[in-house]
Formats: sequence, C-alpha cells, structure tokens
Amino acid sequence: MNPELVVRSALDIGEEMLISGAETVRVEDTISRICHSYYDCRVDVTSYMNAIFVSMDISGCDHEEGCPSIVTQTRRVLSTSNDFSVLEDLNTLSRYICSRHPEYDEICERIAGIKRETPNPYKLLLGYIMSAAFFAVMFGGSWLDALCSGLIAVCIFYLKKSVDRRLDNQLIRIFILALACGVGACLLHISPIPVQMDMIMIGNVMLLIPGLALTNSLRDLMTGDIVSGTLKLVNSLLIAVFIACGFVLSMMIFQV
Amino acid sequence: MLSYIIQVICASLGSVGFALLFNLRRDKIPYVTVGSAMGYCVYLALMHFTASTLIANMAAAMFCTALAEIYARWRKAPATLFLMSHIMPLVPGGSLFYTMRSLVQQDQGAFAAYGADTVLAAMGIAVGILAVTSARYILQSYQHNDKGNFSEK
Repeated sequence: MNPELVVRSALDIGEEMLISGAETVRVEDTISRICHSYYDCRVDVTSYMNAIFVSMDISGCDHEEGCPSIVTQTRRVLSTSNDFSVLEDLNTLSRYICSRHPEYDEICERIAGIKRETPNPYKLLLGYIMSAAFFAVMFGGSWLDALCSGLIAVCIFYLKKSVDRRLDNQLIRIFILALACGVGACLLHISPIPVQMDMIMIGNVMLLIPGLALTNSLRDLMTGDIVSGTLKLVNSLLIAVFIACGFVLSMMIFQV
Repeated sequence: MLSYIIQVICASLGSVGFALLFNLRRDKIPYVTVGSAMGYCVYLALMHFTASTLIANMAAAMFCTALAEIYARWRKAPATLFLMSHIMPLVPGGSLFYTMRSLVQQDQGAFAAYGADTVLAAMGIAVGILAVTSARYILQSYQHNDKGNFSEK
C-alpha cells in the first residue's frame, strides 16, 4: 500500500481510539505498529490529549516511484469521551491489519462499520441512574437519598444531551449540568421529604467529576508522557473547579 | 460490619453503572461486578488496619490491575476496559469535589485536608496500576522475545 495511505489509515484508527477514550500510550503504540507492519522503517508518533502527529521515513526501503520518502500527517481531535465497545473493536481491527495487511478501502469500510453502531440510549440512562444512586449510598446516604439521586441523574442525562448539541465549550457545559444538579438537590432539601442534600449531591457529582481523568493524568505523568499528563491534569482540575462553582452557586441561590 | 457489606455491594453496582455508561459490552459486565467488589474489599480492609489512604489505594489498585490483566488474557480484550470500571469506587471523585468546593467557599483548612486526601488517593492508584503494568512488561519480555508480537494490553 502507498505510504501516504498507510499513515492515513493508521491515523484514522488512532484518532478514533483517542475519541473513544484510549490512553496516550495505546494510541502511539497502535499507530507505530500499524506503520511498521507495512514498512520496516523509522516511525515517529507523538500523541497528546487532543492531537496526533506521525512521521514515517521510508527512504531506506523499496517503494513505488514518485512517492515522497518522508510522510508526515497530523490530526486534531476536538472532543473525547469513553466508549469501550468502539475501543475494543478498534483494538481487534488493528491486530487484523497488522497480521493481514488489508487495502485502504477495506480499512475505511471496517472503521465506518465500527462507528455506525451507536450505543443504546437506555443502556446509558441505566448507567447514569445506577452510578448516581449506588454511589450516594456508598458515601453514606439512605435508600431514599439513592432514589432522589437517581431521579436527578435522569434529568442530567436528558439535559446533557441537549446541552451537548448546543454548546461547544466543555467547561460551560459542565457548569450548567452542575448548576442543574445543585438546584435539584436544593429543591429536594427545602421540600418536606427527609433527605440529606450532601448525599444526593455527591451521588450526582460522581457522574460529572473527572476523578478517573485525574488518576489517569498522574499515570501519564509517571510513565513519562509529561505533556499529555499535564494537559489532562490541568483540564480535570479546571472541570472540578467549574463543577464546584455550579454547586456552590445553586446553594447560594437557595440560601442553604 | 453490615455497613461494610452495604458499601461493597453499592461500590460494585455503582461500577456496573459506570461500565454501562462507558458502553462496555454486556458479556463483560459480570467480571466488573466481581472485580470492583473485590477491589473495594481490599481497600476497606487496608483502610481498617493501616488507616493510610496511600497504602490502601495502592494495594487495591494493584489488585484491580492484576485482576484486569488476567481477565484481559482470558477474554482477549484490552485490560483498560476492565481496569477503568474496576477502579471506579476508588477514584477520588468525592474528595476532589469537596476540595474544589472548599476552595470556592474560601475554607482553607478543609481545602488543605481534602486536597491532600485527593492527591494521596490519586497517586496511590496511579502507582499501583504502574507497578503491576511494569511487572507484566518484564514478565512478558522473559516469555517471548519475538518482534512484532501485538501484546495484550
């Protein structure tokens, strides 16, 4: 296959992996393995939280006339999330590519096939309710708190859908969600239902707070991905500040 | 004792919630239920005996990672899928929130206390994961030295 297409297909897979929540190391490793499986040459891959850079130097190996001897391509990734079904499929696909060396069209078709499967919305909704409700109990809430926390999680799920469509800025989006959560918890607090406001809040906070991102950023820092780790660390701390602002603002509005 | 049992069950079901949220395939959910419950048991036991956030999180993360690596070998899937759901009850989400809330409310004492707790927990988990992952790399390099082998990670 043409070296440009090799780099492009490797980047297609790397980009999708980054979007579906793969670690930096995995993205870099996958891209360089795919490139190496087509050409035995030097490949340099750098990946950050939201960008990938690949440079492949094939001047030392046989290649078609007219091809450039150094191929460099970059990608910018705008938003990342966690979708482990896609990640699993991409991992399988990258193994397949490394062992069988398919043509570019086939790779494109397979990636499109993986992206076509959208997650079942009810599965996600159930995930929201379960995590909010059970973490509220884990932190010391009662079962009534869990029920209320689950109810707010349903609201968050639908609000998140509409907010994600309308706003680009991640921090503002998360601030609005946190504010809505806080308002919900405060309303339940001033209503006659005997609930602990803090427990309802903490259950829903678990849905929004980047605790996992913070841990992963430290992991990146310790493996030596200083740039990627720092970006993720700053990002997760900023998100946490915005969440806190949302909750504190709602508590100030209701004077509790 | 009963409160511990309830905590473990809730931690496990909460992690299943996150696994669903991460769109993990249905056939892998049972492993998450068992793994996160066991990981949280390790955490609670060490918290009870040593009262050190760092040690408890590190040991629990090491246990979770080892379990995730075993699952990954067995089910032929990347270990991250299991790992991210397993460590969900350990990650310092609650204390990170309280840290930032005390920052916004200008409560310096609480900020320092919660902040230290958050950093210790996150560090502990990161070190625990890295320890097991590095150990696996070393073991793997002894097992087979052939180039171009796509490792199971």
